[in-house]
Formats: sequence, structure tokens, C-alpha cells
Amino acid sequence: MSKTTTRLRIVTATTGAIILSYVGSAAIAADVQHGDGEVDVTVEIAKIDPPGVLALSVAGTSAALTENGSNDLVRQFTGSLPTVTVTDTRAADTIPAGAHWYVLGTATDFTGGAGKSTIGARYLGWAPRLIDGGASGLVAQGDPVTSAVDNTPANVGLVDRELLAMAADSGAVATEGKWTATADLALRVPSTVTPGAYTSKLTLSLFE
Amino acid sequence: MHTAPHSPTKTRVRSLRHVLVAAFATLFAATGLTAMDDRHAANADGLTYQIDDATTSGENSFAYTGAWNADKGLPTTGWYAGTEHWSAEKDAAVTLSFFGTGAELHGRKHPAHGIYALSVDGGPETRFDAYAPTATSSVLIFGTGKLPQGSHTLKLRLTGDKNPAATGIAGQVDYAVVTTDGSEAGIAWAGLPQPSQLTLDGGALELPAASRLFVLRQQQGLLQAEAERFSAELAASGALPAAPQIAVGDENQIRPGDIVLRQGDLAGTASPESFAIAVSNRVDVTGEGVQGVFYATRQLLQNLKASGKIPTGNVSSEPSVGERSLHIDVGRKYYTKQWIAAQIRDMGYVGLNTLQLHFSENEGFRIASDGHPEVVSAERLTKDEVRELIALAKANHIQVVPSLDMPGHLMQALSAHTELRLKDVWGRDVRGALDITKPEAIAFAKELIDEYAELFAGSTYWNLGADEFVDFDRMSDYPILDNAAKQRFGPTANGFDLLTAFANDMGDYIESKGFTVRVWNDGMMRGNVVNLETDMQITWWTNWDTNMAPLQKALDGGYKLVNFNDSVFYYVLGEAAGYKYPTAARIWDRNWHPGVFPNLETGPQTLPQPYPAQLLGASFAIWSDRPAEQTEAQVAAGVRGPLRAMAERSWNAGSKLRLAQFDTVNQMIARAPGIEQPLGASGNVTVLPSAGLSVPVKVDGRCVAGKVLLAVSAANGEGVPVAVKFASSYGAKSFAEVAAGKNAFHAFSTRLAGIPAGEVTVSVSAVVGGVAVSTPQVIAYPARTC
Repeated sequence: MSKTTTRLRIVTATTGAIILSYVGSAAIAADVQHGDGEVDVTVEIAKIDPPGVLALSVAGTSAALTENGSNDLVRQFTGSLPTVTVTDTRAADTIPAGAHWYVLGTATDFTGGAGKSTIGARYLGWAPRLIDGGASGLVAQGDPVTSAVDNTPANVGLVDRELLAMAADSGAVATEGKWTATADLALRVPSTVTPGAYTSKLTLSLFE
Repeated sequence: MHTAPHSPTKTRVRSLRHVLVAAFATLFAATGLTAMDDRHAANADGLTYQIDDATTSGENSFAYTGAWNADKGLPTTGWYAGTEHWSAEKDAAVTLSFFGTGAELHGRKHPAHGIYALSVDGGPETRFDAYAPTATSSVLIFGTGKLPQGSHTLKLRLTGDKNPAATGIAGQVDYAVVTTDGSEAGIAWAGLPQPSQLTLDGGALELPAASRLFVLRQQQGLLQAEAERFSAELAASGALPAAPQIAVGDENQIRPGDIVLRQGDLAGTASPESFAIAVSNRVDVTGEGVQGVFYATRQLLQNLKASGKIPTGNVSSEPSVGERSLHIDVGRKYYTKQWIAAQIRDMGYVGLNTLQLHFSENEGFRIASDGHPEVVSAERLTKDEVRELIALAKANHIQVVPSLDMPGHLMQALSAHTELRLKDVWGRDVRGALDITKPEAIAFAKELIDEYAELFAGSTYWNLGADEFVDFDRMSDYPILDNAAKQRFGPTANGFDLLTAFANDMGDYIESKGFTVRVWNDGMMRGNVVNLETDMQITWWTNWDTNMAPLQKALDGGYKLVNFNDSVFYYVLGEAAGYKYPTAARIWDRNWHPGVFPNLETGPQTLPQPYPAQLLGASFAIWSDRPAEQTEAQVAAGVRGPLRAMAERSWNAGSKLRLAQFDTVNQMIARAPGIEQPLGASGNVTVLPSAGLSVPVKVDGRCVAGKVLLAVSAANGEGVPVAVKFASSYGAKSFAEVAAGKNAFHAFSTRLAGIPAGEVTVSVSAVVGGVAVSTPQVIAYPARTC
């Protein structure tokens, strides 16, 4: 198994925005690291020789979450994940049969509120959304994950590693070459939350 | 029609003679009727062409430098084609450019001939002494020997030297023989017209005896008739031992060896005649319309006829113009229904889609009449026979255009109506002309129109003629017309205005019966007052007379046009009026395409591509001026090559084929099935039991970050969009529309490190042939632990 990881730092204030920024990445146990780095979102489109590479990039370094749809019991802050792009320049016949790439996301607890208070990652949910899933229909977006304050299925937040998108078969979709996805982010916390600026890191990892 | 006595020199046709003299070729050239049973013949040792010295253009031709004399009209016993070139000037030279594997130069030896120097492709010179004590014809002067297949030159120079016995240093050439190896042809795909795009892999599919024709269930109504005819044709042409069965079913019921007929949208074309053919271990035919399916199946029949196989790969084709036509003068000569039917089959075989039946002429009126039996010739087609021909044409995707020429060319119709004939200034009958100033003459014309409009109901076009009414260069001979014109349209009007008004009035009348009306060009756009209505179309046959309006005038006037270029496509029986029988060679030599109209005296009239929308198409024409000159069989054999050349070049706006390749394919494909022996029964139609919608599903438990994801995919194997719904213990997912050939895929998050065995229910629904079809599937999956 191999992967590419991008970690985002999320800074939030209950009065304002959540800031995402990228920091370095770390390999996840049992996964083979496929490539990583500071995600300066500069893009250099270099000539790639066969066998090509499978890679992940993110089209931004921050996302602003703004208060939207709060009620007496729950305060809600929403925003969007910067566009996540997976590219595959490998020849289809060089990809092992049955291989399938997928992108996971996980978030740390939010920290930095007044009095060093925290907000658990379990309150941050997302709804993955394919922007360009390719013509074949063989790339799927992950199921939604909701905040722990909600009484819904999958109300576990982004504590564990959750699926953003997956290819049914890397070889079958390789000729499409490029796919993009985003996710609607929603931080939903009890209205008793301590006001302040909070930061979380959201890590996106590409595996195959 | 079109017997205007114009000089043959106006046709600008050089005496190019491409004569097939390869041994096998006589088999076809002799009668043109012989079945191409020996399909290897065209791949034999090659083709040989005789090139006359007068041929100075085309792929094989002579170029003369220095002072040469061109003689013609010599006895053909001693001079090929009755022509020669000779010179008595030192260093006068002639160069034969040719494509092939070799050439031989032939001419006379003569007491006054000197010594020639001959060279190939600019190489060293070889000397030849052309002296002989007595003149001798058809002597081999020089042969190049075997050369690599390609373009070469053979040059002859008069050295000025001579044999001591010779009385001069002169030289003479009569003809050359060019040889090409069989491969020149390099016929990748034996079809006419050639597909616009060919991507072949060099292989070939031999149809198994168990081949079926396959029609998709939802297209049965659309394509069953095509499949049935094609089935019978495959048997009749010998491509299969028996007429193949026709299977109607679903995409997933197609088997290797099947020929699948399908109507579907093709990229980049809007013509219903366009088609694509993919040949692998089966054949997939897709027509943009039913016509496209028809033309694609012609291509398959032709390849099978030529080689017994179908080359593997992909071809696609789109016509350059929408109308590709044959006009037959069935007025002057009686042709049997059977003969016309054979022409219809041959037309459809090579992509022609319009038949103009010219049934009234000075020398004959050849469809029976109930209203005016007195106008009809003894030998004529019955109306039932005409109806049969119209039905056969329709089945071959050919529209029939009635051509009832008036107010000229009506001598037969007026044979019993002396009172309706136009008189000239001397009070004499004008041959074949109706006196359009008389109300009773107009009434007579309308009665004829009424009767035949009913017979040809359903046709789109009607050719009213309006040509060669009188001698257009001597309008002062017809004061009746001039007076009537001035009375009706004022002092500046003339006979042309009156003729144009007649065309407009009759045109309106015929239009009211549902036809679009056409007229010939020669007498149009020549009046002073009356304009031809712009919804009339013009069949443009000639500009032999400088007084005729040029093409540009018709373009400026907005008229739609069909190119009948007489100098290329007029097959006039007896070569009357200075016409020469068209040949494929001359059509190639002219580099004809649908935009090449008859020349003006001042130069060509050519519409470049892309063609304007006003150019509807092109037509070949058989005129039966001297009906006894050729039998039906001779006419059929005579027109086949040039007609197919026209079919190739009108579909493709020219041709990628060399002439030799065209000749080869023309021979290989033989005649259309159903001519040499009647079509038998088609194979049985079997509607296969539905196998449900072909949407295979895969379920896969995947370990992701230590937990199981249940990945479910469904591939749409149908030719139509389907709706898909997955339902599992871990959620449901719907896809409103999965396009043909695409997939539905979802990964359900279980959030469990292990899941027990279970099932996914997949519902697939679609509308197939207007009917909603739903196929539920339950897919079991095993337990999975990460």
C-alpha cells in the first residue's frame, strides 16, 4: 500500500473563520509512503515519463468556515474543502490488477480557543462531493460524516480516517487521468462552546 | 433532349484512351455483364494501359518539347486511335510520365526516321535506330524493363543522327503501354464509394457459416426490412452458403461472427446516409439513419464479393453531397421494367440515391396514360410497372424524379394534337414545341401533369424541363412568342420571358401537388422582365452556347443546383450531337468532383469545397438519342464504369483512389446482388427471449484504514441509459442516469473492522424501445475482516 498525505491546519474562531494551512506530513503506519511534502499550491506541469505517477494535490491552503445556520442548541460553521485533485499518469497496463486508489481525510481536535479550550474533531463533519469523477462513473465520493451533536448515522466526525473518494479500479480509470473532489465542511458544536479562535489540522491522504 | 448541335470540340475532351488489356480484363470489358466469379482475377499480374500519343493530361500522359506535329484521323489499322506525333527537329523530345512498373513506347519505323535517344527517370540515354527501308507500324521503340511501382518518366529525344541509309532524322510516337503491378491497387477495402475514413489493421474476417444478422430489440421495427433484404443478398452474392438468420435481441446476446445492424448517432455528421463499420470477430454496422445502414451493408457485400472476407478495423463514411443521381431517357428508347430494375439495384449498390425517369420525348412517350392514351408510344411501361419500379427504388433508398419535359421536346405527345403545336415565322411547326400562348395548350399540359403527379405522388422533385423549347439563338423566328411576351409583360419582354413565365406558372401548379420543381439551365435567366422563381431548382447540364447564363448568375439568384455536367456525364446513344461515351478514365482525367460544372468558353466553372448549400448534388445521364445504337445490355455495360466513377467521386468529392485502383475495385465488386440471379428468401427472423438488462454488478469488501468499505459497481452494457439503485445493510445509493457503456459505483462506509456475509440488492431500470424494463439483481458477498 502506498499513500500521499497532505495535512491541513485548521484554525477556527467561534466568532469568525476557520483557517486551514498545510504542514508537513507523516507516514501512517502500515502504509507505504508514496510521496508527501509541504503543499505549497504552486503547480509545475512537468513532462512525466512512463510509468508515470499517482499523485494528490490540493488547490488551496486555507478554508474559511463561517457561522451559518446556528440555532439555540447548536452553533454551525460551514465552508468548503479546497479542491482536491488526484492525477494518474501511469499507463493502465502498468497498474496491478485489482489496485484501487482512494483518498482519506482525518482531522485533529480544534485548539486555541479562549483559555486553551478545545473542540473535539468529532464535531467536524463533511459531505464529500465529486467535482469531476471521470466519464466512466468508476470513481465514487465517500459517504457523508456528520458531527457528534447530530442524531444521524455516521455522526462520528472526522476523528477516524474517512473516505473522500475512491476508484473502483485504478487500471480501469487510468486513462481518465485526473479527478477532482471537494467536501462541504460543517463544524456543529453545542451552543455552550467557548468563543475564541480554534485550529484543527485536516490530513488528506492518497492510498492505493 | 439535349440534342443541340454543338461542336464536339467544345467538350474539350482529349482522346485519352485507357484501355484495359490485361488478359483477364477482356472478360469484363467484353460485355460488362459477366459475373466476377474469379475473384483473384483482379489481383492477377497487374493491369496494362495503352496511352495514346494525344494524351497530354492525366496520370499517364505525354509532354512534347520542340516542334512536333500532331496528326489525327489516320487509319486506325496503322495508327493507334488514329493519331500520331512526329517531328523532324533535332533535340525535339517527348516525355511520357506514368505510374506503374514499366512502360513501352511504340511508333513507326520509317525510311526518313533517324536515331532516337531514350532515357528513364533522367538516367543515361539508350539509342534506337528508327530507320526502316519501308514504313512499319506499331514497332516497339523502347521498353523500360521492370521498375519499382511508382511514378516514372520515359524520355525520347531526336538526336539528329541517322542511319546512313535513312533519308531524314525525323521521329514519331504513336502510343505507350504502361504496366502496373497488381499491388498498385493496394486495395485495402474493396468498396465503392470508398469510405471517407479507413483504419484497417491488415486482418480480415471470414464470416462463419453460422453468422447471424443481429438487430437490437428496440430497433426491430426500424431495421428488420434492411436485415431481411441483406440476408437474401448475402446468399445471392455467394458470400454465405445460405441466407443468414436474423436475430432480434439484446446487446448481451450478440455472438462472434454476427453482423450487427444498428441505427445510432455518429459523431461529426448529420447525414442519415453516413455510416460506420467496425470489424473484429464480428461486424458492427452503425448508420446515422436507415440509409446509412443500407450503404454500410453494400460495402460489406462488395468486400465479400471481392475477396470472400471483410477487412478488420474501422471505416466510416459521409457523402459530400446529398444527391447522387442517374437520369435515364426512357422516352426515346423503350427500356423494359426488368432492365430499369437492374439499374436501380446497381445504383443503390454504389451509393446513388436519385433516379430521374425522363419518360416523354420527341421520339417517344413511354408510360401508359388513361387520360391521353393518344400520346403514348406503342412500347411503353404500364403504370403498375412504374409503381413496382418506384417501390423497388424506395427499398433501395432511391428517390424517383419524374421528368416530363415541356414546353419543348413534346413531339410525341403532340403527334395527335397538331392544333397545339407552336408555329414559327414561316408558319411551320416548331419541332416538339407546345404553343404556350394558347390556353388549350396550357390545359393539355396540366392534364398530363395531373395524371403523372398522381402516379409519382410521394416523389420530392419533378423535372419540368423548359429546355430547348425553340432555337434560343433565333428567337426572332418565333413572333408568336415575342408578341405574347410583349402583350403580357410589356415592350421589353421577349420569348425568354414568356418561357420563364411558363416555367413559373407550371412550377406553381406542380408545387401545389407537393413537388419541388426543377428546370434545365439552357433557356433560363435570359429574359428581360420575368425572373425564374427562386424556389425552382436548376439541373445544370451545359454552357455550350455562350449565350447561356453562366453558373454565377444562378448562384447569385439563390437557385439550388444539380450538376449534370454534359461534357463529363452525358452518355448519348450513338455518340450523337458530338458527345463521346463517358469513361472512368476521362472522369479521372478531368479530376471531376461535384463542384466541377461545365466549362464556359472563357474557362472552368468550379465550386470549391466546402460546397455552398445551393449545390444539391450531381447526376450522370443516359440519353437515348439513337435508340438502336445500343441494346439494353450494351447500355448497362457501357455506363457501369463511368457511372460508378461518378458515384465514387460525388460521394467523396473526388477520390483517394488512383484510376487503376478504381478500375480494379469496380471489377472486383461485380454487379449488385439480385441482378444476375433473383434474390431468394431471407433467413428466418428470430426474436430471442429477453435476457434482461445487461448490467453486471460487482461487490467487493475493501479494507480501508482498518475498516471495511463495501464497494459496489454496476456496468451498463445496454445501448441506452439506465437508472441504478444499490441497497445494502450499510446504506443505499441511487444513480438517476448511467449512460450506455458507463458505470455506477459506490463505496459504502461500514465503520466496522469486520462484516458478516450479506447481500446487495441492485435495481436497474431503463426504457427500451418505449417500454420500461426493470431487472432486480441480488448479489451476495462473503464475510470480510480487516
